Amino acid sequence: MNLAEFQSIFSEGLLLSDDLGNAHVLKFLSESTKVDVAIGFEAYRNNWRTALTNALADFFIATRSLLDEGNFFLVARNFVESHHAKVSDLNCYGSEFPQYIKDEFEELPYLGDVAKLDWLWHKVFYCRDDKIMDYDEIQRKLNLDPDEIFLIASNSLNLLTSNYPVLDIWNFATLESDENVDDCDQDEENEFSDCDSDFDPLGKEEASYAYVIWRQGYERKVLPVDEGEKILIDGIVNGCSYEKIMDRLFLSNCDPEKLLALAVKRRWIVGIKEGNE
Amino acid sequence: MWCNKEITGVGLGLRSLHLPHILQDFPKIPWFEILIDNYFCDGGLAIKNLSRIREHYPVAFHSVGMSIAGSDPIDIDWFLQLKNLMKKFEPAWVSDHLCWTNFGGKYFHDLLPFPMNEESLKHVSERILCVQDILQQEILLENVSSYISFSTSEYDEADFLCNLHKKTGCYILLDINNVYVSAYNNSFSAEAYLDKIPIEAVKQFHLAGYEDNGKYLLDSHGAPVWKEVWDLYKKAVQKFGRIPTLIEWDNNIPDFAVLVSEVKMAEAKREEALSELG
Repeated sequence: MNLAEFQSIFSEGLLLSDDLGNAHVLKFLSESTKVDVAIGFEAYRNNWRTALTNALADFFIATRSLLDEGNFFLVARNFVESHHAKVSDLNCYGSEFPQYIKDEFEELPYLGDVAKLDWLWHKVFYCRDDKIMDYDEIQRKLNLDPDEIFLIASNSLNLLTSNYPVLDIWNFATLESDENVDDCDQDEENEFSDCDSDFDPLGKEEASYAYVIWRQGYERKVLPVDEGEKILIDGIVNGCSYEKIMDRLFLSNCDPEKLLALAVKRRWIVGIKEGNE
Repeated sequence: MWCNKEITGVGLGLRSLHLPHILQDFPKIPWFEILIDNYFCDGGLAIKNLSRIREHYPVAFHSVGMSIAGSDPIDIDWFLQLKNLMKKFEPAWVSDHLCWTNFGGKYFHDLLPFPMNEESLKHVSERILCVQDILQQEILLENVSSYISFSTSEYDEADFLCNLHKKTGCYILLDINNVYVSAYNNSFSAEAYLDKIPIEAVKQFHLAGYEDNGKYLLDSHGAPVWKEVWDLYKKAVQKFGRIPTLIEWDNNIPDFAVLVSEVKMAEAKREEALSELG
């Protein structure tokens, strides 16, 4: 048996349920040591499960607080068993956990969205720094020819929509766990946005709450957004042209110029590119 | 930026929990070891903080992602990221572990063992040479704690490491705690292990705490260094000399002051060991 074959068998043994996994591997182990071979092998199985479970516990702080420790670690361990890490960077592990939580806790329909906010909050910490174009430069380029111009979103920009007041729940949970509090910017005054308050663009069938999660410099932020901001953010993160975004904003009775200024100031938009760039 | 030739004495593994204190008071720690896998991002506060650390302290990089004994293809993107960080922060050296961490695209985030025989010696040697060509420098390889041994092994770990050093020029990061834990779990002599390692091969020591769960010793990195490990450290110092030493503490991380007391203890044990030599 060569090294690759050995590693294949050992890997399978680690990932399979305990008895089945042991049957795969124990025949290759030496009985001459102080530690029982099954117990020794179990140490490795515990190690990888614990590493991934602890990573989830570090990333999903509000979810952990809402579920309490015992329930969280139980569901996290079940997730770890069925969702193996596919990259070496541990900080990338857990992107599928919010959906798993949603499916597992149908009686708590907001919980998956809280987990999604946890994940985005974690993710923006590690995302790439932006190369930032200043507002005058953006305006100058827009004045040249707005057709086929695309706004460049911050690498950290994320939009979260939900039928539930996720940010309030998340704040409550993170306050309980005494984490993230200093970074949260929920009450920042929205000095630019002035969408028509009678406008009801979301409709009864759509999500009632929308939030933007991003990093301004080194500071992580999360804020509720109104319809105009939502249209703008949705457009830029999905690669819509400037013209298309503007058309949508006009339809929603928002002031596109003010929104654009806000988005640049907050660094949701960090530059502009032409269609062929 | 500090010159990395100044890596001497007893350093600490940098942990994010202690960053506010370190970046405010800049305590007198000779150097920090950076778990570099946590910085494989192109920006953000983590990199900013590491830049500030680097302005004040020499650093060494330590990683868990090389999978030097792995049989999956070498992950060139991973190494290019490492190279970028090396260029930016100029670490004194880069170390990883004598283990594998992934197979078939699945990552275990654990330091996994393998049978040490002719085939694995050839395989690991070739991987090290390839990695050293990519990084354009020799790496350090750390002995890991083990809880099992293999009926198909032809070498013990100390001999295996010595052969790797001879074949590739790589150095050894000798983890004293891991030697003790593996020796206990696998019923071999820790002292005999140290005896086999050539003096010129060792470039760094690690010290950490293990957990005795009654069935085996677990390399938990969550406790102070045990007396038995201090005793073994003194023997290592008497053989290898004033090798740069690092205190590792990764779980149940205590206040910074506790780590500083471990640093002081290591310094005291080192001097005690050397004075006993006369």
